[in-house]
Amino acid sequence: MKTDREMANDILCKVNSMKEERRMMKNRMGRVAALSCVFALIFVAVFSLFIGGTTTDEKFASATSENTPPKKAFLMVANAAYETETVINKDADVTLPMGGILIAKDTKGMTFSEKDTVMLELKERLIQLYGKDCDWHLRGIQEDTTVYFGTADYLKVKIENPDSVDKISISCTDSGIITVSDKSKLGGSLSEYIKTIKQGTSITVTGKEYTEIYEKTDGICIEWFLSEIITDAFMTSPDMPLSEVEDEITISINYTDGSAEDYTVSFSFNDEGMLSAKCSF
Amino acid sequence: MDIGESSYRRFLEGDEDALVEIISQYRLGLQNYINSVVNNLSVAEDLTEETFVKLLIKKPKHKNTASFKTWLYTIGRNTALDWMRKNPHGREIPIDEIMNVAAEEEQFLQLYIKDEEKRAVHDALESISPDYRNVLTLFYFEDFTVEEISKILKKSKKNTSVLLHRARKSLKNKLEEEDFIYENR
Repeated sequence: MKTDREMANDILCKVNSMKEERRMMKNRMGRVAALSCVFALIFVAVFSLFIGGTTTDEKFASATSENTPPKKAFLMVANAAYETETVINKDADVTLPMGGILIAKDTKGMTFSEKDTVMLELKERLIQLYGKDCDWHLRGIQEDTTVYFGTADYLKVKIENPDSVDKISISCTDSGIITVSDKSKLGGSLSEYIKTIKQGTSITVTGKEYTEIYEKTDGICIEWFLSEIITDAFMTSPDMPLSEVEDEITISINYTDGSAEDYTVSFSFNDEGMLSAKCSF
Repeated sequence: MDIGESSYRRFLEGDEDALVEIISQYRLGLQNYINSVVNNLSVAEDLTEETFVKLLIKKPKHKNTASFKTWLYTIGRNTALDWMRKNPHGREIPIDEIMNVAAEEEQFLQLYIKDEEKRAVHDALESISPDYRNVLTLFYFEDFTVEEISKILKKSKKNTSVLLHRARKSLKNKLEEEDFIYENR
């Protein structure tokens, strides 16, 4: 049996090598992304020359139009474990996978252990979705019907000039419940690691609150879960199609200069229970 | 704030000795608990180490409502369940290692469970269902409350109470079969 000190040394070695591996993976992904951008630019340039003009895509034109003021907020799908952030409000009506999955099964008469297997099935599907294990946030109910919802991603709202924020209002329908939190970087103290700020279907974050969060984590995090209404619906109809579950999150940002930005993020599930988000503004 | 939380905070601030404190404080209990899930002490030792690695490498979702110990045991349980999923038939031990494993188990029990009565309970736990063993280990050996156990097992408090009640009944029957005088805690 190892001594405590020996175990600590082994753990630190493993942690360091995993961090190094993750850093290398990130660099590799960065290089791939950079190369992809270069190729995409070359392709656009060649294509434009080929059709004898510049790109005329309306969405692109309106997004870059001088008449349209640039958006001050970045709305992102983020993952704390992989430290990834994908901006979703650069184009309207873009659908992105959200790294969430829903499962509902009739588990009447099952033992606790068998119901746990249902949860493992959910994890297995999440692993398939990501291609590897990840940091999950699972919530579930184990009664006659077992309903689990697992997420790894969350929405993040980032406004780079926190002083410009008067308030942020976030709401969803009664299909869901949203939690607004900060997600400090590893290195903060444990009790400060994730600080749930507010929970409900209608939340307002004041400018002062946003500034405090921004200093720690550069944006607020919005996590979404199934409401009791939906879990109750599964309790009575375990076979309800997963694609019938949907929600709409409205994010309104009021700035101190009187301007405002509104975003709507529609959450929907496919028949397999995989969650995706579509942003419109 | 429990001791683990303050040690973890110091570790995050760069004090590596704090990790030794965490290990020293929780290692044997966590290993005993993981053993109640995987029923293999040698695997439980590896998974205990893996749990500590996860504690440090991941961005763990610690809730302010749960103590550090509850949080650590939740990670431990998930690690054990992952292992169970990947190894549904458990790990086979080569016959020439069986004696070593038995000696290691004895060493572990001597270190962690010194009390004779607790030893008898621990032995009885081995012959009851894994779910019952799991919840009773958390309740009797790790001194968690029903609320804390419900967080670790991701069950409602009501379900946890029912599970604990049935588990106690099963353990009581087992102990009575072995002429052990059972007292309600």
